[in-house]
Amino acid sequence: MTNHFLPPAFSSLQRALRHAAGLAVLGFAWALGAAAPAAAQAGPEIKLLDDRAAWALAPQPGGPAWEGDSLLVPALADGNAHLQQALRPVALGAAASWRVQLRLAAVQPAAADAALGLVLVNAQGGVLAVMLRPVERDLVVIRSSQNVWRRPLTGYTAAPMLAGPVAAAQVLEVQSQGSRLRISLNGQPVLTAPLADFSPVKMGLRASNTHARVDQWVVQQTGLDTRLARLAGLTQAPGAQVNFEDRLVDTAAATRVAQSLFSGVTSLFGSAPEAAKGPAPIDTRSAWPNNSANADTAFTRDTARKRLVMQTKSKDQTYQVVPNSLDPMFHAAVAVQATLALPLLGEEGTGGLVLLQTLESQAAKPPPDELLFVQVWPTEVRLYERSLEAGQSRWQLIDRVDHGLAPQRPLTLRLVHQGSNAWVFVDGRMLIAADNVKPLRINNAGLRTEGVATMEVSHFLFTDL
Amino acid sequence: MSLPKSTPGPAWSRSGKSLVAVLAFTAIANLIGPPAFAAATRDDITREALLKGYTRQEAERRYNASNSLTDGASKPVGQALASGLSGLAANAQRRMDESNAVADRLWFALENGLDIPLKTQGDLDALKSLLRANTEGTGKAYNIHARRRHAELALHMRPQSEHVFPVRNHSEAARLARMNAYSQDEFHPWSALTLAKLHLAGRGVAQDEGEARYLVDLCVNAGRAVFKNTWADTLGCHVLDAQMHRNGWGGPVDEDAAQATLKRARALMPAGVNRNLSDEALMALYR
Repeated sequence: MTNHFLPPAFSSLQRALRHAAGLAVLGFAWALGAAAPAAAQAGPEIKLLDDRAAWALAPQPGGPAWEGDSLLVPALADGNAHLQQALRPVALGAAASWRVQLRLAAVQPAAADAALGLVLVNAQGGVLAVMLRPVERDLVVIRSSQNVWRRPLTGYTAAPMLAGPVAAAQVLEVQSQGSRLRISLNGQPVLTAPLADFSPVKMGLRASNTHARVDQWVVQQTGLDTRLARLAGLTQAPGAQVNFEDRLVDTAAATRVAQSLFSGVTSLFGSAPEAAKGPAPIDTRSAWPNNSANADTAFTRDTARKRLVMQTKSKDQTYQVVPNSLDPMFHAAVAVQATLALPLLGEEGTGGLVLLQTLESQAAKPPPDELLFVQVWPTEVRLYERSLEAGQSRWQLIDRVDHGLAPQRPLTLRLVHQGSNAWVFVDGRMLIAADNVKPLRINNAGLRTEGVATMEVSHFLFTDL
Repeated sequence: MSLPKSTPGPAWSRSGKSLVAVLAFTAIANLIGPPAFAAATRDDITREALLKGYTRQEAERRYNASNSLTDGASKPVGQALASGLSGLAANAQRRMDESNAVADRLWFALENGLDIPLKTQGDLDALKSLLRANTEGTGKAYNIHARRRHAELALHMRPQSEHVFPVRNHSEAARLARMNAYSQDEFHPWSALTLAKLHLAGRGVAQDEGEARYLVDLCVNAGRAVFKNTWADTLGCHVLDAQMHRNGWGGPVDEDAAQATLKRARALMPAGVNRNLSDEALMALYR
């Protein structure tokens, strides 16, 4: 047999020194930009300017209009309305990454504060705008949600590549990548801004205090936004573990069928058939705790319909069920996901998912759990945090967003937490991305109803990401 | 006259049954061999003679005959067997010593960050089994060494890695790295740094600048590490942090933050290490 193991080229000491010098990580040269990034899956390019009918241009005189092959967005003469925008829908897939490139020029800058750029609108009406100011030669990203403008996402960032005549055409490129916007001007990167998992359904042009002209507009779906896909549960990292999963399937059913068949056969031979047994007891290590029924709350496992039914019967009651689950990894993101139906959702009754930090305590009265609670209302989803302050529980509303679903429709709700971030998905769509939650050591997840509510659950999953 | 219903039967019949049982026992004892007889006393022989209806002389003759038979035939067999077994045992012991020496040598290399000289197929097999046994983790802190080397081999960062993993196995490296990157008790900067790089490149895991930023923050802000010789790894985290700030990866382009983190990186370097490097040299050397 030939010995294919080559003798080492250096002495152990030399190699140890080389390692200590940090040169052993040469394999990562590509990771640091020396090599090309992973090839993007090039989707079809859409030249949106060609499709004029799709643009929603306000019909008022002096509003956005076509001028030859260009779209012209004029500044209004009225001093109270300095802002104009032209929008059109774009169809991007779930958790898609995308790229928009447009060539735009300021026409007759009206003031030093003239700005023009790209505007993105999500399904909830939130707006994200990338605006460049040709006079000041800088760039800013601003956003609004619930029709309220917030402070700029980025400060005014100098863009020296805007040098030249103020009215010269500039190529603005905005790329979504890893839940961030990567913005470049005339081919040179300027900045990245948090996209905050913003998935646009409309894009358009926005002009402030100036006329703006766009004569080229390209949108391209470049592939899957892998961060968004991971948070949404579409992909899972190697080594990530499922802490607890229950599909509410009756695993003992096959055994019972076999037993009943066997008892039928043996009864043919004259032996007395055994008395019919009830369903096998549920293994609480791999399933929900035993059913319970109190005056105010009830919890039943309906194996025939593969459902878990929770009922809170009193207006002032809260009911929470938490299965036994393993400790997840401390720093990894954790997700709880369930397919829910709230058939008797009323004005006062709600339900949803909880992620909990349960502290082990030897005290007779252990401290209450700290938790994150995502709550489904008839028209909206709310994210609450319950934290401990000086031994007292304190509830705080983190965010509330319209979900836009028909009432009583089953939905897949997903709550993800990592560090001071939390995300809420409904049917795979990200509705809430919060970065101001309390860092918790989540070690349990469960279901919660409040007020007079009945909630049915058909699949429950608690997992590391 | 009526007999009681529960009559157990005549006395001879019962004693006959026990006789059969005792005979069977002695027959088995005969088959098993000398130890049964060796322990027998003269009283036992007497009782057996009584039981079997022999004379005392006959019983003694048979006992001595069976003893002599044992001496004549089974002793040499036993001796041969024993010597053969001891030879086998000695061979096994020698092989165990040898393989322990190989394992010790490999483990020393793993623990001290040395390259592993693989000269034979046996070395390779020993390394694989050592990694397999020590990688998955039993909650013992020393397993980090095995996991780290395993990940380095999977990423082809070590000489002769291709013999352990014929092709780069990014998924395996990511799986091992996350055990220590996300752990609280066994957090290791190198694991967080490696996983961050894998997330930046999208190899073995999702391309995710946000997660890379999170891991680098963990690593940079980690307190005093439990494991020895981690300053170079922590320095690597600072260097990656600076590069991410400079390139706008996982956050805005921020040259000030890059400079601040490079300053902290220089402060981390122990005495005797050249701190007067340019930023570029620092980043090239400790990436």
